Amino acid sequence: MRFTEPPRWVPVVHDQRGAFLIEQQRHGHPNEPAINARRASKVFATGDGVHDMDLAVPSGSIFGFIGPSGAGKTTAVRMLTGAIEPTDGQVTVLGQAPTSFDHRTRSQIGYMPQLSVLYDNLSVADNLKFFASLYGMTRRRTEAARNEMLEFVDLGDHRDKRVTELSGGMRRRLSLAATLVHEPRMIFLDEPTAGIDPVLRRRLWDHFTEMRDEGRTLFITTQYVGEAAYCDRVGVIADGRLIADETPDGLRRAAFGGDIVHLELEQPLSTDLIRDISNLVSATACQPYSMRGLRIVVEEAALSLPELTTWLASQGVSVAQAEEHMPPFDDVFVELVEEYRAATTDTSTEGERVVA
Amino acid sequence: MKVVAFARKELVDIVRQPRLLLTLILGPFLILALFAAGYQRSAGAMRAVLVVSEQDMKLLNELEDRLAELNRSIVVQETTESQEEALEILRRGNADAVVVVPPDPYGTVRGGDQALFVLLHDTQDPFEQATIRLTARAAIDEMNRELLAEAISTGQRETADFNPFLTASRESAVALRTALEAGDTAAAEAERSVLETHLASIDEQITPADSLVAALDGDRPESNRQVTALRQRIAALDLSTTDGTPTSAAQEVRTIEAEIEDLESTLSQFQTIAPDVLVSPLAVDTELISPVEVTLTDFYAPGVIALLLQHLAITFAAMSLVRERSLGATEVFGIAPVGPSHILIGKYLGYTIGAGVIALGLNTLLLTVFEVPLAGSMAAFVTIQLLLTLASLGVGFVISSIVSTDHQAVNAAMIVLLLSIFFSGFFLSLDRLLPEVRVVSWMLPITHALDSLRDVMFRGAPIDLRTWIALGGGSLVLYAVSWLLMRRRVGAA
Repeated sequence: MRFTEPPRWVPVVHDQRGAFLIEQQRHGHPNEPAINARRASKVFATGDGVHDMDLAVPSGSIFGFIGPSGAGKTTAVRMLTGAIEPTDGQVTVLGQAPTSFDHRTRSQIGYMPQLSVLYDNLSVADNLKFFASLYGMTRRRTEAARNEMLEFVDLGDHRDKRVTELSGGMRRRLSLAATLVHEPRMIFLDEPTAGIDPVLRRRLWDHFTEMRDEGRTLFITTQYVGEAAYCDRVGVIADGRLIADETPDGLRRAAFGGDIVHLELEQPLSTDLIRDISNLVSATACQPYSMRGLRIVVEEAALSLPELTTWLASQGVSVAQAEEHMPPFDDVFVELVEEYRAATTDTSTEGERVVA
Repeated sequence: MKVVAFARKELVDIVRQPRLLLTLILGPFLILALFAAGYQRSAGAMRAVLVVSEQDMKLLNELEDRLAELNRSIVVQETTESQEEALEILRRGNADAVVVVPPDPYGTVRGGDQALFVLLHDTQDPFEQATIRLTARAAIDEMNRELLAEAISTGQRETADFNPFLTASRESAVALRTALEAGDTAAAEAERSVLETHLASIDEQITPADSLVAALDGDRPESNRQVTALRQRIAALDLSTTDGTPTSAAQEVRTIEAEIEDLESTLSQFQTIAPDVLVSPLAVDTELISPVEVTLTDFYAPGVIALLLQHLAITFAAMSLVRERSLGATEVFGIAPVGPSHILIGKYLGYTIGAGVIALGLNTLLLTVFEVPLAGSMAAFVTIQLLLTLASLGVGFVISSIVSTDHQAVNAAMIVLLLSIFFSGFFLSLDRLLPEVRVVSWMLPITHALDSLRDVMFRGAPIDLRTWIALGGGSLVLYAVSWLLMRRRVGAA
């Protein structure tokens, strides 16, 4: 898959529909996107930033935001939380422009920045109490929420420790607890799992999923590409542009042009056989990876696999193994970014040629 | 609840640093204690090298004796004829000053000029330079007074010789008048001759020192000229008589009689007044009208309290918002349902309570251990410190909203501290500053607080209106400015 321009398959919300959605959300329509961004840009003096971001994150979903370091993930989050104002385009969160959130909307948002916002001389419990108080929680409610959060992030035994006595991972967990203590409806988490061990990471994602199931919306940035599998939709950002916005499976297909089927035969592959297989399943790519092994990119593996095995059997070709290959998200991510960069380089080179 | 959350956070942050608290309370107390114990009210004696020419060496003992009498403020370390040698001793640090004695000082005075002593020193400190100038001036004034007192004492002894002549003159004048009134011209002539002889004796013996007698009575001419004038008036008397009735000459002699009597009385007065009184006839004494006696330690105590409160309030506030920004908390606050008012009022509350705890500890130590007087009311004493804390927090929050980093905040707080030391009246009286420069002084919260604290503590005065306006009004203005700046910052976070 090659890009000649920024990807066209990024869902674009049309003006009229977008205007309708914003209006509906303001009145609390439950099925409308929690986050809407239309050609939202934040361009700094250096030219870096986020460019023309179109986004629609449904309420009650987990949206994973993945990108290499410096791609613009944090800038996008800060734009969505109202910490910075877009230089162009339009952003709404819970039906309101982030720079003019009202008191009620603010109460429904939880934001965990990339760096832990914790007070060193305060204890774990005091930190949670402070952040709960910012949202006007009563003492009784704070106490209950605080205990629950401490258990959730596995810091129940450390409640009286000062932050200076905590490890980096424990701080990160406490920061997450501080973000969630007021039970927000819209949650922005900027790399919440950074520095956390895989076991706890898994627990956190389970909890994120539970929160999603409770109807909350989570916008999570991460550098752990594998975590994309936990998300309902995944946005991939590179060089300040959103280059993909898909379901995890859709992302794989977008990266490789379709589903991937790995076929292992009992006999060596011939050129004719490869051509016939490719024609049979209308493969977009058909590439041997060994003497007997073939990687085939098809429209839909579930349909192509039975067709393929039946045809091979009729041809007297013994199949050692035939299955859909699920490439790791690391590969998906690398493929997407590299293809995007290659496409933008080609475009700029062509542009130069025309000018010349 | 949100305000209390911020207040509690800041307070817990301070309380969880017991060493900081202890340093802030005990530090100034110990500094003041050390100052009180170690400060010398008077500087040590100035070690001087005398440069005296060979022909004046005979004066040396007299000079050394005179210097020794000057309350030991100048001690002669060494004597030399060479100024270069004396300067070398000075440069080596073995002396504090070189005193160059003018050649033949008494001869110079007799010639009608001042004998100029030159004091050379190598002190760079302007305050020490002023002390040296004062010491030198005091020493030379004291020596001048001694010389004058000696001259007067001599004069008093010499004028004692006039007494019999003046008595005789007065008696002769009476006899002359009696003869004139009796119309006895021959007797009058004889008495005039006797009177002239007595006055001539006085006229011949009178010395310049006698002019001091005249100075006792500003309306009188100098004694010698007065005696000469009397002699002239006596010589010009017409002693002839008409029908045995008193002539105008008798009237004139009666006047002369009174003048001689007056001269006699003045001379007697001059002889009985102590020479020291005559040399320094006017003296001055100062008395403090405030209700309490203020020692040096007492005087600096309000300054220490005010300086500490202002500095810690400014530093706490200046660091506070910068720290929140660098931590990323400002961004979180910008999204949370909290406004600049919640944050600022909460921090004001937390830091004011924290500063109050520190002030309570320090004030207790100063009032009980040092027994620094508090002539005014405790309420006024506490209120000034509260107003100072609020105004200083305002300054700190404004600084915090302007600067970008911790370092900039600390530097700004240090600059305010330096300004406060030089321009608040802590060390130097504000009267010594130009009115234009005093604008800087009055912009500092400590200037108003210090002035008012001294009034309350030492004069027992209430808080004046100017302090209320400057510190109270200033606090409100600074809060408003901080609020505006913070709203901009939180919005842009």
